[in-house]
Amino acid sequence: MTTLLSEDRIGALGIGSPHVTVNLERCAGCQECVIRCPVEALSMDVNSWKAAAEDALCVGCRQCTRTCPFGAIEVEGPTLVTERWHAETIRPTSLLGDITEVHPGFASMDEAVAEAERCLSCPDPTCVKGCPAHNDIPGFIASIRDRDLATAHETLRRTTVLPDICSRVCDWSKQCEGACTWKLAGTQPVAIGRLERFVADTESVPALQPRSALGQGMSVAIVGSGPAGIGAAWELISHGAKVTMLEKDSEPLGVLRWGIPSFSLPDRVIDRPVAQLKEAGLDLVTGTNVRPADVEKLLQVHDAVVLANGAPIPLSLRFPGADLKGVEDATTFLTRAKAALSKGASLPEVNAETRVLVVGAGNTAMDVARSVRRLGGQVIAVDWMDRRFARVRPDELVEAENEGVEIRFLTSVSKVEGNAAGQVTRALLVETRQRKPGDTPRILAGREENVQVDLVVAAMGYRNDSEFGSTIAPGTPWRASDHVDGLPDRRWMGSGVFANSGNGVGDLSWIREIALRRSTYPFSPKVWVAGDAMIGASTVVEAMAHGKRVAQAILADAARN
Amino acid sequence: MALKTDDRLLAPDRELGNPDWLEDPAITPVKLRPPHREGAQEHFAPTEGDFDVSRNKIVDKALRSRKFQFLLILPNQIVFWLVILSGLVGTVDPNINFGTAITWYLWFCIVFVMMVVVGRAWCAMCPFGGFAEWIQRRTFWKRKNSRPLTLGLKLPARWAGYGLEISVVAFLVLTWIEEYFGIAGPGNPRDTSLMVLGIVGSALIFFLVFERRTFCRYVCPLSSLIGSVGAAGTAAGFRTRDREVCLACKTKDCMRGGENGYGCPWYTWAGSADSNLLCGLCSECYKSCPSGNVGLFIQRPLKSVVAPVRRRYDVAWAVAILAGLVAYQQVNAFSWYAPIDNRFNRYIHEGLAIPTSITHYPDPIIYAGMITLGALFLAGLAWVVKGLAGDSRSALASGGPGAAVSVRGGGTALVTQARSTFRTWFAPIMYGLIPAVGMDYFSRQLPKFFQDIPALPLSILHPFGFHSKLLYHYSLMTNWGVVYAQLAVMAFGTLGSLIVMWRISKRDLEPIAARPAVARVASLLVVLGIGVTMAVMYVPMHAAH
Ligand SMILES: Cc1cc2nc3c(=O)[nH]c(=O)nc-3n(C[C@H](O)[C@H](O)[C@H](O)COP(=O)(O)OP(=O)(O)OC[C@H]3O[C@@H](n4cnc5c(N)ncnc54)[C@H](O)[C@@H]3O)c2cc1C
Ligand code: SF4
Ligand code: SF4
Ligand code: SF4
Repeated sequence: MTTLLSEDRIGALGIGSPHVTVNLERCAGCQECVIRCPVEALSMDVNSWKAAAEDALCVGCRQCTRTCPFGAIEVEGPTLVTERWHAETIRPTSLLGDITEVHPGFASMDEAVAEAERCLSCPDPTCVKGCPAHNDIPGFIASIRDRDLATAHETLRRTTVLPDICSRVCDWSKQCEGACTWKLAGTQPVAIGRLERFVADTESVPALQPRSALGQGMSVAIVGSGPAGIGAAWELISHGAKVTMLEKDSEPLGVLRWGIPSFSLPDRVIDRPVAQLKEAGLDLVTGTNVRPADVEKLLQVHDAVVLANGAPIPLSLRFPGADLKGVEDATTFLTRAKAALSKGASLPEVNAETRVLVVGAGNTAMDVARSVRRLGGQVIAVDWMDRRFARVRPDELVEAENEGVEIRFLTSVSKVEGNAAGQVTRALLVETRQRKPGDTPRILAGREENVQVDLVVAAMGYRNDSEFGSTIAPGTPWRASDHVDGLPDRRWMGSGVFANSGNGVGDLSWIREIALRRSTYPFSPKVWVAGDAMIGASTVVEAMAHGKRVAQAILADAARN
Repeated sequence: MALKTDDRLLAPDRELGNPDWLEDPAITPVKLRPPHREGAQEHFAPTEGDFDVSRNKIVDKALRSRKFQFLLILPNQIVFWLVILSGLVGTVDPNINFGTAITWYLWFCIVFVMMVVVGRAWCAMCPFGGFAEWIQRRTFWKRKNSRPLTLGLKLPARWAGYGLEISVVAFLVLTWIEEYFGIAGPGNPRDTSLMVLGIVGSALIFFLVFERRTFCRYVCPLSSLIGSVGAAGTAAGFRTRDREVCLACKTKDCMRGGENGYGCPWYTWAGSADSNLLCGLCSECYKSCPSGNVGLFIQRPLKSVVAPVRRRYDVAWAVAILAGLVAYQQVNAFSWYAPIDNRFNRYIHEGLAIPTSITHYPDPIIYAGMITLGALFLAGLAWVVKGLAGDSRSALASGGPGAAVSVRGGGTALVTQARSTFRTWFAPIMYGLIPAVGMDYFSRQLPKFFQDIPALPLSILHPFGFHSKLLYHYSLMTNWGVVYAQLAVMAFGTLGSLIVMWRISKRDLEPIAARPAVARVASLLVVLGIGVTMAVMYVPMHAAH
């Protein structure tokens, strides 16, 4: 490992080395730090039975500080790790019609290995808890260090079937990388996302391999072909079950297909999972809209049903003028935009003069706005939240701004007006105020501005299809602990993932974990729910992980009966 | 059929032949290093020979109940708010005011008996810390995960490094205030109320600023006394049953808090405690350990004085200073001392040009000076013992059982045990003095108890209009009777000190002494001399308060 800066460099930079102080009065000798220090800088002083640190070995990751139950250990000084790999976002000379992927990957194995060497292989890796699928991150990174990508794939395969997709669309800053020990120590995390992508891009994701015969003779219907459906199907088929996937659209993959633009997620990547599933025997039936009443019928033919129908209903605009021509939701716009761009065409109503107002500045809104720029239009995105609390990938926000998207936070729309033909022409923007992350922003009276618009796209989020009823089955435990509200798993607490995370990544990860555990409970006998259908709009990796977990629950259930 | 609990999926499932995919993927990549085992045998709670009372089903049930400590605290809570109320609005006659009578005639005596016989029993039921803890946790007894009502600071390592010493200073200050205003005399009951309010208030402030029971462990004026003298007590505290289970435990719920209990509020680990010094007997670890690996152990009296393999230097100084304080109080009770004190007073205040208006007993300079001298005198005795017996080791190589652990500072260099050979002599000898010093404190309370306790029923009845003075001047014993009782208690304490000193010397001093026999005899003579001197002082005091 060359995680440590070379001694010359430490000297040249004059950054000194970390210094560990054990508060001997408080240290109880429990060894929580000793068993977790990645570099064995901590041991026990046998005479006093207190932790003893060797500064010369310490790299300053502060894992010990986070894990000590009594806060008896402190680390001062620098973090001894090399600089994180960094590549400029690819910026095409002209955005118009360009759908090249904006994020480059590692250019060579050497580059990837250099980044992999920044990983400490933490004994209690917090990054794994940050990853919603709980990929064995130190495990696959170790394989990259060994230049053994086949083994890296094998390691990833245990927990994910979408390494090529997740490694492009995940918000690492709130997931694996946000929970990397380096990040928790206040420095640049290991580029986990890019390393995962390197594995998937360099050596193609291996085909589905049978793992057991646990599901032999079993037939499962999956409604929806998004990440949740794919996760469930993969797991079921690899254990021998027969899977029929019912999709309402003419093509599979849901949001991945129509929603996430090609400059983030290239087409060549998205077809892989379904193709491999079909090869392994998946029965995919497209163009079939399953309604709640059909679930009973499916159960007559299948042993179990998985509802993975996503959260397809866009949150509607509630201001006057929302029904004018030229006001539409993100799903409609993105579907059209993505189709046009991939054909090298444009949309008839969008040109250099077109002013588009995007309501919302989350990830969907950024996709809309950046697509508008590629179609040649001008765009303003407004969001009533404070920029500090915005629910958007920080890198995407910056990139959108670089591409000429005007983003106004603490701004809302109070009404839109149209011309005689009923076509939208003007929007009235109002200022808002939000003091704390959880607060609903307040509209400030008297701070208004009129802007000219030709198209308004609502990108405020999605909700589940309420016709399927509440997706939380009655009696399903909400919490992991029956006794203490919200108390995390003891093993999670021990890892220290909740400490020092200014980005709140520990709490976020735990909330995701509760949902993941909840997905193992059936919604009603033989019916499971996974992904956005269960928890509302979430992320690709969460949906995929739910799908896998649900499949495991179905197999376990069948094995028991 | 629905799965009953998600654990069935998360834990390797035996029923299904343990297929690997049923493991919890968040836990599978966890590859903790093996814990250090060498030396664990000696350093883990030596509970061998102690009796685990929690094996009894009823005790177990009581300790598991979340209401256990609440119910211990509640009666005291009620009494102490009545004390405050009664001091503020009740009769000004301290002998029959409920507040003063219960506090100074009964409570103080009971606290001393409890600390000598049990240990930190008072801490388990203390209404001051208890009250503040209810507020800090926002609950009376429930295990909650909501953010505690506190800034949650940790006492800075530099301060924590003083160990019991902050509490010792707090005790000295409180005693000085109490003597200066004659609160425990007892004087005006209002002063007693204000003092109790002051303690509750400072506890509350500390609980709102610092984490857990930082106040109890470091600051509470009684903590150092109860902690050090309590070593003579029979409660070994909550300890690990099987050290292997603790070594294999990766979550330390007893320290961090688990489903059924909070993490130890005293920053004590049941796994490594080798005395009852810092176990507040709150039972949280008992409740939170998921392996049921914590027991409540009863030990032979004096065991926590002898047993610690890591003697704390702060405890040694606490004993020396507390001995200095009680000796000062005894000397002050001599009838012939008052004129000397006055002379001293005048002399010092004229010399230092301090206004005579504050030359009131106890003079802070004489107070601090005499206590310091007393403590230094004891340290000097330890030094003499060392000199006579001779130290057979080279400096800094002074590890081994009984060696003093410096609790100050931090960092690798200081992790080693005793930094000076003096500490390895001073600490064991001061531990040896614990029974005598404890009994000395107890003896000091006896006059109040025997002479004034009969007034207690009057004080209870007084608010209800019963104003008889029937038992007002009744004493359970004559003055000489009290003195004999004090001598008996001191004889008992001195005997205790001789017994422990014998054993401590054998284990801790003789192996490092050039002349082991001299080490033994000299250390025994020190405790005997101190015990006898303190006892003899009770004769001229003639049962003075
Ligand atoms: C524009 C946009 C951008 C996003 N960007 C990101 C991103 O960058 N990173 C990220 O992690 N997440 C992103 N997300 C969120 C992410 O796409 C979803 O959380 C994820 O796709 C949810 O997966 P799912 O399988 O639960 O649902 P979906 O992906 O929504 O799949 C549901 C499928 O079910 C089908 N279906 C619905 N109803 C029926 C029915 N009645 N009968 C039959 N089939 C039905 C749908 O057509 C769809 O194919 C984005 C979402 C949107 C909308
Ligand atoms: S900071 Fe990291 S490397 Fe240093 S002692 Fe702590 S855990 Fe070990
Ligand atoms: S937390 Fe960071 S350094 Fe540690 S194993 Fe994970 S990626 Fe590597
Ligand atoms: S939780 Fe139980 S087993 Fe673990 S260290 Fe504490 S007492 Fe030991």
